[in-house]
Amino acid sequence: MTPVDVLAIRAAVSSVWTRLGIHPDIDRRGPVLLAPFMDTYNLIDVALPGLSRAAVFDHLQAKGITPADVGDEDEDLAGFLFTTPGVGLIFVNASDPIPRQRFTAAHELAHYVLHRDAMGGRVTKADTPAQIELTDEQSDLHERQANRFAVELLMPDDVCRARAEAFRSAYGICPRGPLAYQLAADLLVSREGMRYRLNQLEVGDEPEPRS
Amino acid sequence: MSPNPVREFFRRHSASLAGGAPPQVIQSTDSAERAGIRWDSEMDTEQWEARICSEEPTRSGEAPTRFVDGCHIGESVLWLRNPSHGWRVAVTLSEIGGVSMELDGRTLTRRFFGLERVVSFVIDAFPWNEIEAVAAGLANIRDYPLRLLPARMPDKDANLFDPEVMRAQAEARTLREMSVWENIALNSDPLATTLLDGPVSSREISQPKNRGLLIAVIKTHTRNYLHDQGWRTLLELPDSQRTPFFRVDPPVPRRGAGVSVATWYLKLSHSAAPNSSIVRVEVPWEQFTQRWPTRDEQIGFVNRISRWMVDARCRQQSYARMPISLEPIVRAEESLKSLFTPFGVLRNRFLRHAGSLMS
Repeated sequence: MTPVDVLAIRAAVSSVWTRLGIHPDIDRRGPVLLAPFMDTYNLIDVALPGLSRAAVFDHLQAKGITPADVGDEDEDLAGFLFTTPGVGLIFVNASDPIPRQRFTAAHELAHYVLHRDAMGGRVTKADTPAQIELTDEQSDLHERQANRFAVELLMPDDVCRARAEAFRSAYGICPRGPLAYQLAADLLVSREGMRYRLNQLEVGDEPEPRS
Repeated sequence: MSPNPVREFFRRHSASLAGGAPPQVIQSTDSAERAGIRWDSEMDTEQWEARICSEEPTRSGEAPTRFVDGCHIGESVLWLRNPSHGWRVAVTLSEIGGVSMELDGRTLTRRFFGLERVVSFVIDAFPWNEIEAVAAGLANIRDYPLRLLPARMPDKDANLFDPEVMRAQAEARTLREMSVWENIALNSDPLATTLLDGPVSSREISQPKNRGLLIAVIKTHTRNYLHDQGWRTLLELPDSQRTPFFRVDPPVPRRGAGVSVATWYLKLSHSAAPNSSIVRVEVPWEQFTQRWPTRDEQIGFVNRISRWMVDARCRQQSYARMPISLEPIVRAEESLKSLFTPFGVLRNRFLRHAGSLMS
């Protein structure tokens, strides 16, 4: 499996911050706001319950857009990216929890930022729930890149470390489990995603295995 | 973006003031949970009877020296209207925290506390871009930041038009966050013998063998753990006596789902009502069987710690939950609550920011 070039992904994330005209502020609490990033790229977010290719097709048709062949119409989707030179739409599944919707939207934004040139002028990119799963088993390089982009954007390294340090400074301890629980709510991401990120960064204390 | 996304969000979704909280929903025990109960740990099910707790004092390392409690003060303060379906969504405002008190000679000293102010509601009923804006707005209110706790949508078969269903989700989310504070307090000194107010069976307790002894006392009985003879034994318990201990396993064996426990019911003091003054005690099964490997040793410990609890019971007549409370836990709760902001003040500050004092 080709490894993800983490430095390149971080550079891409940094470029979208630059385009927005601001940088992550570790003193500012709460989630990284995703909507302004989408605005800077003129991407419109659409949340449809029970997202499927058919639902995307119907939505686009209703907007007067003639979509290309969308494939297996009944397939359940987490997200869908549709762009033409004139319009860009990011679809998420409104039936998903909001942290999941945000992660999906960030994942689709990543495809737009990282992969649209490789996909040609008109992009129809469907993502199933499995493709937006944060695991080490993901085989498709583009999906792993998009997931890593979403992680770096929504759970910035500096912010995670700063919050952990603040926690330790306030309470003298920083157990990873409770930290992940609290930080997930603070950053409006899933607990599983937050736990994955803290493990990746090795932030927070894990109990020592019994010798 | 609006200069006040919090106010804009609440105005857009027709926020209106909320009154007092309706009664708590009591959950039943399903078959999967009952499958994880083994009643014959101390004696056969048919032979269950009240067990006398001997006067023998606790041995070294058995009596708690640390007491952990969580507190929560809050209520629904606003109602929102879901934009697409018209569901009414309760917004709860709370102050939550966890505290650890240590016994130093005959004095209880506060060794750890953490508290914070939180807002919770079923966020999935609203667009994600509005939720992230309101979460950021709440988190950055100057002087009294509020963390948004995302409550989950109710189960699919729930009536989403029932406001109580939505309110219960927000309250459950807040209580779960309070239990995270309890976990943090537990982790502040993992080697001390600790008495925890609330169940240990539903917590993620990593490597119980490496920890100090953990004893949990449960005052609210929302699960049916007993068989018929168990109920008869429980309802006829004389004061200072207990049921036989039994084992309860978590219903789903996955990481973080909880730990197996040894558990029993104890009647702390005399009461006319058959179902009052009763607490349930839990000890992680791994610790229980490691420290007291034989059944006789287990019975001896259960008797000694039960007697200790009877002696430590709360005797403050003015305390509403006196019959089911232990004095060190009451002291821990009082210690933490003294640090809370008066709720009326918190509520008014929030409403002022949310712009909902207008109606």
